[in-house]
Amino acid sequence: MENKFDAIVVGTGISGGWAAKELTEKGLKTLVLERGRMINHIDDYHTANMDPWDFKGGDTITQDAYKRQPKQSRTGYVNTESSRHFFVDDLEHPYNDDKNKFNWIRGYHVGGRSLTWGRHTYRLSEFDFEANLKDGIAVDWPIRYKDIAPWYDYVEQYIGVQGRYEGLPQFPDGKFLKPFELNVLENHMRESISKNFNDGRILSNARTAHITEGTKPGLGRVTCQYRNRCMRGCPYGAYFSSNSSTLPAAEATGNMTLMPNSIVHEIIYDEDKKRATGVRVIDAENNQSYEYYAKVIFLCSSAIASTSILMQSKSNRFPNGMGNDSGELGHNLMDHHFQTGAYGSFDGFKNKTTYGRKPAGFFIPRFRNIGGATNRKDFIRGYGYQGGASRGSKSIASSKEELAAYGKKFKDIIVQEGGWSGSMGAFGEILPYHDNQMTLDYNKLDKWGLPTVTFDAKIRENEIAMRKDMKQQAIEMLERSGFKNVTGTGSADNYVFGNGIHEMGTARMGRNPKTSILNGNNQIHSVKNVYVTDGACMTSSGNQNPSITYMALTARAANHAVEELNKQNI
Amino acid sequence: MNRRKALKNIGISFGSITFSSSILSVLHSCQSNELDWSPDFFTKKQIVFIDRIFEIIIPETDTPGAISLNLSRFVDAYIYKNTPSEDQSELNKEIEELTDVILSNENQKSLDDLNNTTLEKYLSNHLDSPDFIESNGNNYSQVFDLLRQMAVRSYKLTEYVMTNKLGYVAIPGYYDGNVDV
Repeated sequence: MENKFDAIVVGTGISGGWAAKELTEKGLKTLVLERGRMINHIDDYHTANMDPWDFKGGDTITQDAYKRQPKQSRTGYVNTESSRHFFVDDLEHPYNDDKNKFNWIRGYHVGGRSLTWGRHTYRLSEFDFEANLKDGIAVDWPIRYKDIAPWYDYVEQYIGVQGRYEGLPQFPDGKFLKPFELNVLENHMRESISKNFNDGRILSNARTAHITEGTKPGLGRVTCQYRNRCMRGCPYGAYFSSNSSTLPAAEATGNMTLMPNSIVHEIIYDEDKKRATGVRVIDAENNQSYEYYAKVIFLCSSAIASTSILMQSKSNRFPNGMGNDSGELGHNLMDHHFQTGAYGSFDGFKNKTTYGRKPAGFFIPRFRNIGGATNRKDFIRGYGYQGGASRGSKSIASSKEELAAYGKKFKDIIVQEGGWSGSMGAFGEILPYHDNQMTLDYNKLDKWGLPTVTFDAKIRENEIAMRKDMKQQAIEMLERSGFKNVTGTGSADNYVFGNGIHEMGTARMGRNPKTSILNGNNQIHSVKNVYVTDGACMTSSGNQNPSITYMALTARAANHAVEELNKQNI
Repeated sequence: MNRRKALKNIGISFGSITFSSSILSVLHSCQSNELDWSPDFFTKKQIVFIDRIFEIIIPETDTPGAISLNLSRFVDAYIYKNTPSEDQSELNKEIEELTDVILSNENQKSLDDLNNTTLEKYLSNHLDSPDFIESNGNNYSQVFDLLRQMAVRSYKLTEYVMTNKLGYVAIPGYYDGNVDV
């Protein structure tokens, strides 16, 4: 097969799909390499149309999953029977986290985690891009909100994002489809929170990458059917994934060669040209090695994997890994800390219920440290809440109140409309600590003879102080909205890094090659024809779900790469 | 492994299942005490006991009850597939011990020889009084509580109940957050 291309894209997830689409649409013959198996849109979503009763013993995390996927399973929320085929086998893909537990959740297949992502879509704001400089922490972002804003517009309009316009600087509006409506209790909470807090906090509709009106480009992408089975792959293409959207667009150009089962482990560097010339690949199925060559390379294999490839790309010029003149490669590992908040029950709205299963609830954007009275002494940065309210059927406890412990009356009671309940959990920013890092262990190799990743990262004082506030404010907002039996969840100092599945950093963007790996266009400072546009590039984490930022940065970088190629600068 | 802790673990994990149910439909119901299927985890004798208790909790009326809806099949599959082995063996011990003490108290050899009124007495004693002590000196409130929880959960996850009682629609098509009851 042909081994020379204009561009090579490593990875097919959120970022890789966008790189493939943009580069091929701009006319570049592009090789797209994916380490896992092929997943075709719809055809390979074998659980998508299964009804709940089709899972013998329930749609749960089984003991077999705990054996084969012990680390994917221990989050407690990712790999049930209906979705476990989209998460890796930990025994086949080991990593090391003996010092500090780290949950590295991965999907090795075409589409990557774009199939299983949470779909929440929030822009970073100017507060986030200025934060490091203002706080004197780590390094300054080399870009500002105005640099990325047009690219947010561009990707949002292409993928379809539903949301409500709020006009808040810390929660920038975008190009939205009509929002998933708040239900009657969520609307009540919106009113109560605005009325009862004078610090400007609001409860808005969650913004997610779902189509709520019309269609979007791709393989027949139409409006959400309110099944809430997104994690299994959507046969309507109603939420954005690479498989339904960007990869079909790239395919349609005729410029894409997509190769699954291809593990990229090294970028080839030419000492004379001072450029990367291609990649080294192991065929995951037969262990054969191959080399492919291109003028420009996009690393989009997820934060940890992209940095791991750079670390393995050693040469005389780069003895410590490609682009690592600063020594920062692998450092400044971040995530979002979450799993703390509150829940409660609500006595009102007995004459109201809901129909359909909307796949998103509400979002309470950041309201801490955005100036004036919102500034805190106990922590810097901020957090936002995701949550929802719903009504279910009656419980055993409510049957007790009606003096029926079992039998005919009991049987009738337990299927009656029960009470309303609501909950919220916060996602908070983790600062870019130099000591939070990943390294490679060449003494522990995987089945392809490649070094395994070792994690050493933990949350620190700032996050612990923030977590106390995250729980307390959730309790107060529920109580002031009239909830009963309000209970706080999660602990302040016990958070397992990686659980947010927002691992990022380790090859940060910056203005100075001495302190960062990438420049403001996502190019490696010292190897200008290598772009890293996944989570590895992040200079700080913000508290927003990051995928939309990776998409926007990737589209922006692809545009830059083509301009530079045309100018023969790379 | 503490036995009470095992039962609590199973209860918590069982409570976390959402929207799922027995694979068999009402059409394949089994009304007699002769099992026409082979349990993966429980013994046939244990399934007969569970079926009898479940049917007292959720009896057949003008709508299907626990036996018609094969709730014990769901529970057997769940425990087999989802429960750690140490919790499984504690549950097994607890059910064995409980059936033994009932048969011994009633001076019978087989559960078939006990009528529902007799079994209901045990259910009622332990659910009404969490401290009730059997003739062997043990209390079984927690296991009865777990059985009831499993019956209710699996009942609500059957195709029949989800579609006929709980308003489950496979493809809702739209969302309305303000529906009059």
